[in-house]
Amino acid sequence: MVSDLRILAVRADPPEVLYDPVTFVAPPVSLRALVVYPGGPSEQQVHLRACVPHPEGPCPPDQPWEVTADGSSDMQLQVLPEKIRAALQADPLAGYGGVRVQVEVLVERGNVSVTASKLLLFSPALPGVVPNHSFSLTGFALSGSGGDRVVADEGFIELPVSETVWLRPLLSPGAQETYQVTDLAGRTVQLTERISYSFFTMPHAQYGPLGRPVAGSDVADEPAPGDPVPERGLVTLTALAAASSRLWLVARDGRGGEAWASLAVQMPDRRNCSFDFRCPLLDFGCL
Amino acid sequence: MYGRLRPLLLAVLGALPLRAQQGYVASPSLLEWKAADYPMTALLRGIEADIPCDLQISAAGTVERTDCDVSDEAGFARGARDALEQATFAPGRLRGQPAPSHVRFIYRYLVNRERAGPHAPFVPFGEVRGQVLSQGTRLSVAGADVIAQGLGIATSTDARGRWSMSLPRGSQVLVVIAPDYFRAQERIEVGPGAPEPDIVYLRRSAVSDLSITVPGEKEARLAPTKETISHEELRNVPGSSGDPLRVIENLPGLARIPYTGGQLIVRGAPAVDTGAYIDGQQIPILYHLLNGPSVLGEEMVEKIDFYPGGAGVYFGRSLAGVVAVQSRRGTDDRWHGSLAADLQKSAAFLRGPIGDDAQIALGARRSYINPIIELTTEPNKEITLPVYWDYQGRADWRPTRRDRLSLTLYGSDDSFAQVGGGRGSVPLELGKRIGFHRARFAWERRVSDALSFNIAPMIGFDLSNSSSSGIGAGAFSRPQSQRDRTFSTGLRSGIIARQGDNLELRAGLDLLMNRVSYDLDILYEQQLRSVGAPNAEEARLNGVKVFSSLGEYAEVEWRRGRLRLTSGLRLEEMHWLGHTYAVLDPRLWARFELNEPTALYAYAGLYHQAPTAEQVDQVIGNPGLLPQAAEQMGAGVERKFGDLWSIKVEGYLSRRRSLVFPAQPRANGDGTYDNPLQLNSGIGRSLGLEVLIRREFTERLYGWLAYTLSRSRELPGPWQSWRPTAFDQPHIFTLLVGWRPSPYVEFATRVRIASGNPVAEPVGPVTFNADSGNYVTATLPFGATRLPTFLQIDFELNNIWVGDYGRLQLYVDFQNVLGRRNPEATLYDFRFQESDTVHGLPFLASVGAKVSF
Repeated sequence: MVSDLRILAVRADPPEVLYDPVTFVAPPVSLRALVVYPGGPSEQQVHLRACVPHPEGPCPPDQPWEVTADGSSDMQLQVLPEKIRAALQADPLAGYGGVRVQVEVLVERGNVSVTASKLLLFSPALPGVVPNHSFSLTGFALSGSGGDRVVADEGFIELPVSETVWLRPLLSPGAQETYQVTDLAGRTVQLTERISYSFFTMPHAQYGPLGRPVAGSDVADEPAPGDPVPERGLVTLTALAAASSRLWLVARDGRGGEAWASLAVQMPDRRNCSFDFRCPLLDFGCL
Repeated sequence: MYGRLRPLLLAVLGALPLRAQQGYVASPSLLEWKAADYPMTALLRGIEADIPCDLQISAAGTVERTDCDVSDEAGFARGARDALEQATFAPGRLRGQPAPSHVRFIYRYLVNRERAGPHAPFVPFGEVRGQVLSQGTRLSVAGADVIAQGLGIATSTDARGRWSMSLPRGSQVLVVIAPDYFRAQERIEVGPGAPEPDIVYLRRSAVSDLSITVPGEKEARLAPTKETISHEELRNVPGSSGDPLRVIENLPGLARIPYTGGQLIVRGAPAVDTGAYIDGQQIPILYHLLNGPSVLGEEMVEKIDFYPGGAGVYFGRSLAGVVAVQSRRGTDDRWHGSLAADLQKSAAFLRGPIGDDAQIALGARRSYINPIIELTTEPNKEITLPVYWDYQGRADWRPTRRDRLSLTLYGSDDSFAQVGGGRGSVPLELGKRIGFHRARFAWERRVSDALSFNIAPMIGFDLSNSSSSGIGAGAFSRPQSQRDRTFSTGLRSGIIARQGDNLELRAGLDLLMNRVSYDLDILYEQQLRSVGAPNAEEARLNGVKVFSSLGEYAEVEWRRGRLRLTSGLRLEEMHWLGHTYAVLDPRLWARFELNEPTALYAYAGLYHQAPTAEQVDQVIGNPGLLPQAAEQMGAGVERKFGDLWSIKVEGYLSRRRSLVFPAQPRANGDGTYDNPLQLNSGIGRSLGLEVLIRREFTERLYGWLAYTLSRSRELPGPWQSWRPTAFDQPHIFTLLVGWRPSPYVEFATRVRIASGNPVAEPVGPVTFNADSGNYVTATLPFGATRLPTFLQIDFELNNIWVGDYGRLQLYVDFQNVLGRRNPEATLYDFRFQESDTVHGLPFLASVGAKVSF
């Protein structure tokens, strides 16, 4: 449930950057934060800085912000070779699985601010190194009383009050990459990315059965190859009251790749309160 | 019939002055006396007596005062006093002059056992026989007087409450008298034939033990650092719901566990470091899952010895405390049993004799879903449904006076299922079943008064199944299952040799071998570096693992004067997954009696414990781990105040090392990595002072006051800092009082005050971790702050209704009568913006009933 200023995701493109193993020079990274605020549009400032990862905390508070953008949360970050080298030297695993540089995002909106952090992976540009690629969400497959349909990202749906629809995210082709790594015991293992989803919405709508939110109803995982695929969808969305709302879906590939999609949801009230015993429980406006 | 009555005043054993009088030169001597009447009932039963009397004799030789201080029902003292008051003495003399004097006389009643001539009864007689039993418990009442009213004929019951005598035929009235019982009277018909035994049930008049407990013998081989709780003290402790093993949680050295307990945190050590034994054999679990009761029913517990530290070499493989439960034998008089039920479980118990030399005891329990919870739980809500059952059986046989054989069977089975939400595509399902079964045979032989030995082989079977899905993030939410089957064999054998009263040697073997066959379909964290959710790898594994441990021990107990010294040595050979270790544990304790009520004692010893099976697993653990070690030392003083009160103060230090903690991977610098997963990197320290003020169980009142002052800390590895253990509670205070105003009503109350558990309080700025989707924040070091102090008062009321053949016990157990909301944990919302407190038990009342016979 999103009720105030939140950062829901930070996407790095590419999610894994190749750097020159001699000079430690790496190309700039495009960073974009999913910042949501139910109160509607207003002025916001986004700041960005990068540092050597700290086990439990943010970057040193006295470190200056490297990038500042007004309004938009799309930014370019050039991580300097010295910082990559310092991160490598500070790493107890000497860069195993990629040199990790922590980026911190600060969003200020009036006197309210929120922060988020993310690890940027830098791998040496050596033969055989295949970096992780970005992926995207193209939209949603919906299944409900109105039948099955597909709605593209940034699309619009109408969901009458007290009705429920099943949602299934739609991934871009090739989103789940297969990759090969050497584990800490020296064994080579073949893996397939497992996409996990987090669902968000604003008040007046909820994930899970009507009136009975269930723990875990706003998270789901892409079924693994060979696992049964839920017939109607991964989660349900239920309209609780007449309102205009929005839902967001954030997907993570477990290797630093993130993507998101959203839908505008219009929730009209088409019930006849005098005959529907559930009205008083659901629609505060009927009371 | 006996011959003539001959009361005899024997002699003046000593005309000793009660006060020293200088110049006393001659004692008074008896001149005239008249024999007392011999009490009729005593004469008929052939009872003789010596009655001491103090006499004050005047200078004229007359008896001025007679004080026969022995009171008896038969009337011996009254007769002696009457006879002596009429006696005449030659007075004592001082410097040749008659003088008043004090003397002590023994007035002896003797029966002349010469047989009189044939005595024909004036009416025909008939034989009658019967038995006197305690009402409700049907225990034999020994030594009761059975008197035929108006006939002057009486007898006493033997050890089994049986009696017989000849009475004139016809209707007779019998009066039955026994101490601590109301007098009973009944009419019987005496006929010519052999009648059926007449059973008389006596109702108790005095507050005393209503249980059918025979106090266990004190085992000499056990160190004196223990606390022993008798069955009587175990029965009705508030908050324990009749579970005896819950009672030890109220002793010093035990940390308070949230809710209803279920773990034994002894002197700050993890629960897995405390060993639980039944009849000397270690058991895998002491309590049923999810805070259930102990795996042994109340009726099967004879006594519990609890060692918070300093256990002798008889026990091994545990770093911290020891809980040793002794099971109960069957009764040898007649069959007894009980049926009990409450909202969670039902239990049945039966024990009795098989012939003259064998006894058997059987017990079983089964739990069920609390119907109230079932009715009040919403559908689709996450709920955990635990069910368990357990059983116990024991048979004892004494083929000879020197041999005792016993066979003990016991086991338990727990299962629970959790259903509810999940992670969208994977519904949440969690199931677990764990069970164990043990069969133990024991042969004890007393070769001579100075030598005895015992041997007890054991076989066992454990099962452990678990399955889950929808738990954990990412790939860890996929279905997993685990199925273990363990066959255990064990052998305990010991020999005890004594030389006089001052030297005793005890030695023995303790073998335990577990063969685990496993079938796993699990997800485990790969040895990879993840971003966000950890990488999971699926593994399908099956095979057999063997874990074994052989302990050999010997100890010598030596007494000299007030000093008692025991030194012992235990050699333990541990084997797992191709690794074998031998560890040597020397232990020493000493006790010195300053005077009769006061003693000092001290102990020191080394203890070793193998890592758990999971910690040495090849996939998720480190088979190269070493045994963990602890050095325990302590000193104390104990003092008794009369027969009832005692105080014991003990200081202790426990230093643990080679403790197993998760390890972080490291780069070796040559492109390879070291990821041992688990290492013997930790050390721990526990320091404390324990005080126990105890009132022994008496007719009406018992209880204790326990206080523990302690500090328990651990250092997981050199790269981390010291921190308190999870249940480090510097102050723990427990007051337990039981009171019986009548034989059929008992009140008991328990007051507990304990420091709050350490917590890691979030204090820093909150940051959203975009890789995992969670919020993170900095916290104060673990233990820098604590939960508020815990205070709870419990109360239990027992009422017993007694009939001839059995009794009905109803109890009401009130927990947290103050309704205090004790914080047990603090929960934060996903952004650490709001917090809520998880409170402990609210005011709770439970009722139960038990029928026993």
